[in-house]
Amino acid sequence: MSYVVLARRYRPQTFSDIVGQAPIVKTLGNAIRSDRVAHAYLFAGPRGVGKTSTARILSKALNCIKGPTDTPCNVCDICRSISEGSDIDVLEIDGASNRGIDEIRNIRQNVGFAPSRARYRIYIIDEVHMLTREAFNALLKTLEEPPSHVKFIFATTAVNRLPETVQSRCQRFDFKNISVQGIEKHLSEICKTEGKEIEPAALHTIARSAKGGLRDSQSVLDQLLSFCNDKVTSADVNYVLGYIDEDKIHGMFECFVKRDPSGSLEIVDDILNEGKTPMELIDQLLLRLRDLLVFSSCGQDAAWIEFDEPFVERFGKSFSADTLMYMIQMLSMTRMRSTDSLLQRIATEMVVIKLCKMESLRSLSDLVERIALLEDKLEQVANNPGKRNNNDIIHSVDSSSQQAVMGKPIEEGDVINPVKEEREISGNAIDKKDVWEKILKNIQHKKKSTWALFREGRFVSCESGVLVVEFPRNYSFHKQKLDQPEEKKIIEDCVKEAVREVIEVRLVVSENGRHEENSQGQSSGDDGGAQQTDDIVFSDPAVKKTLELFDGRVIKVNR
Amino acid sequence: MSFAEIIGQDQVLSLFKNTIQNKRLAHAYIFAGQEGIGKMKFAKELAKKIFCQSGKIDDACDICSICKRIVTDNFADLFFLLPEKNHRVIKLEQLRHLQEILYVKPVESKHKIVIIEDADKMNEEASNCLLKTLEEPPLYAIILLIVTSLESVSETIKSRCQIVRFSPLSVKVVKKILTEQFQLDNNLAEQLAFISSGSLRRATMLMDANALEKKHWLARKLLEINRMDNLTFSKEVFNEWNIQDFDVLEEKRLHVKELFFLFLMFYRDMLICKTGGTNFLLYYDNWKDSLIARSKSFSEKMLFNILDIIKTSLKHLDYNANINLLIENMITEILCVQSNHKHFVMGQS
Repeated sequence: MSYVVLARRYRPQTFSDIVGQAPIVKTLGNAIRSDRVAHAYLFAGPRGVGKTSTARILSKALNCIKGPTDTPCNVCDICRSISEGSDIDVLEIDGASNRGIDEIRNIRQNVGFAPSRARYRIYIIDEVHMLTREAFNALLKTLEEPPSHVKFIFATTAVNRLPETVQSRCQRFDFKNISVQGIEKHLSEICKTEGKEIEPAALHTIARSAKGGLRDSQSVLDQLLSFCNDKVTSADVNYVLGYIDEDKIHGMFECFVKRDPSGSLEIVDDILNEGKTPMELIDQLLLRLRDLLVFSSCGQDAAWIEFDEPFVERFGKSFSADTLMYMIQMLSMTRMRSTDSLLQRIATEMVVIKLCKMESLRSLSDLVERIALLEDKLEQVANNPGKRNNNDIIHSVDSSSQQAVMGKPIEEGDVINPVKEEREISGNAIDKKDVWEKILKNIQHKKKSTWALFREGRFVSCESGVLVVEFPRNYSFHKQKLDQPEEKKIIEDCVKEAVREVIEVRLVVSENGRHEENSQGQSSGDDGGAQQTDDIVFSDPAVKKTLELFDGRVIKVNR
Repeated sequence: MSFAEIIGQDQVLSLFKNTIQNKRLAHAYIFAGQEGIGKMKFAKELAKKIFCQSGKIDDACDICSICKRIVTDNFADLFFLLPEKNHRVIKLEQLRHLQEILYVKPVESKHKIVIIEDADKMNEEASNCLLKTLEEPPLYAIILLIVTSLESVSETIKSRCQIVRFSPLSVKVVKKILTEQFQLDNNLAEQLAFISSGSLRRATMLMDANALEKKHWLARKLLEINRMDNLTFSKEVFNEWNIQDFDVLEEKRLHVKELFFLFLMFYRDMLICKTGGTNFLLYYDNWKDSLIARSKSFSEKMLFNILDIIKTSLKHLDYNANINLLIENMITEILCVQSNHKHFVMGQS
């Protein structure tokens, strides 16, 4: 007879054997006792938490000779054959292998027949999420109103893939991940019955590694028991799980703190030569970083985490929360699906070097504070330009900006041409930009399509009642469109609304740069282009503000 | 062939020897580890041991009729499943067929062993289909899944199996195999072992492709790359690697992958030199001094950028991008990063 693995041998046989699903067990027990068993159940939850086992126990409970009872006897013929999976009235179907509509039709046909020896005919469909859409739909009517002797039990790890129409016809039970303590207790009971010895620390590591799946932990334990002859130690567990020694992880963090890339590379080399995978290293670093992050934001109060005390004590203060975030980000970016060991190795080395070389990050709020401080100071300077030779201001601004502030005061007249031009235009109390925006806004309210075309233009001048708007060279289409009488009317109305003295709006297309000057040849065109950039530069709010703030003037514009 | 000839996987070997002695052989195992480190070979040896009739305690006899038939793949109770030719995945139909086979009792022995190669290439339907069988197969069945990466195996499958991790072969082991089985001379074998990163399959592939010469050629070129124009260099790379000679896309892809790896190793070495770790394993060990000298004109950031470029190119290679364009693009980008830096230096001085 072959060996049967722990997970199969220790499959729960009664409701009380089930680990960590107390509410579900209680509900089902009560339902059986009070004779209120539904005709369709849906068991959902992660792997290895007891869905299939519960389904089997439930069918035993319903069909047991002494039943229906919440404590099936497990000795009668029916109970035994259900446990073996060979009962004729309890059909356990692999939903992933029999997923088509034909298989479901088959069930539908047989549903009508009465059970051959037990009370109910029970269909357990495991991995039910793999049924095809057609198969689900074929099942709907039967599922809603099956004959009284039929029960359905569905089990799945991906309940979200079941159509809602199926979910709404079933009583749904969500199985939870099993707690570390729960797994630990169960495993130590197994060890006792198997007559094997195991270190408590090792047991704990196994329980944690299972991430809530009891079967995972049983598989690991099985492997350990199969090759450890006497006592199972933590080192054995680390080998089976592919875990990396604590010291190495600590050493890695030490290198991060000391900014020692070659030390960290050495550790990487060591780990890889032991046959551990780079991804495992990254996973464990991530876990540790997460611990530190939780520690740095919640302190010791975070009771839901088991801190590794010496580790947290040693590195808890070494990194700021933002640095930790950054490290986590870098590492998770390295976690890729690539299977190639060379690539993984190099990627890991890269990230380790990066982490060793990283600057410690200031927290964001700190930076914001500093910026706010700077802004305050700037405002002070701007509000009291007269005071700018004052000592306290000079002290408050750092040396590089000091020079800029100390530049010689400039007379109004010194301002060079472009700025003067602007002043002239705005002499009429018309600020080009304001007016333009106002016009655009008016047009936008009236007709969106006109606005879309019009906004490509540029306000050139507004003299003696004629407002000139220029379009770039390749926008002649816009001009044509806007020159149509009805469009033109809208524009003129809007312009008049904004600037009362305007009588006419003239649209031009610039051929070679500036409007109306296209006949003057290449050179003037270039000039015009230059002018245009100047205008853009001077109308830029940042430039304006700078000039205003420092009372400066423009000497040269680099293109 | 027998357990005695398994080299470099001592831990795995002792694990199974103990397991067999304790009679605790489980019904499902996952063999995980990178390519070319002997997972498949080990699986076969394990099958031999389980089936062997000689009654030897911890090894197969290699002379009985069953052992011989296993070597020639002619044994009825040992079944292999792998992706069909020219397919990248294992499909549902194959798994259904497997189940049929599995539920037929063994013909000649007490067991029936199924080895699923590239089990990480099962598509979703296929792997779900395996779940129930994997959890409670017939008592005589043993299922071995061979995967290169555990990442792509679903949780539901992992939870049902015992996971056995195979480690990469050490340089010493690869060298030993190369010298003993392929009659390479010591020096050559060592160099190949270095760049094989622990995979015997890669080592032999590199040997066939004359990779060492090409590696040196590439190193020489990359060291003086600033004097070259990107397209000329790409062309030279095409010619040196005979890229147009491959008709089958998969082969071409593999070949180009190795080329990209050479690039990757080169810049990785430079990064290591740059960070001062000169006593580490360098893939381009012979070029150490020139690498150190050259690394002075690179900033770390540039090297990171270049490595990222190569990594992205490797990813695109798997996405079926046009290979010629990919190479040209990668070389151009690398040169861009390098020359940008030069402007930067000039601007400073």
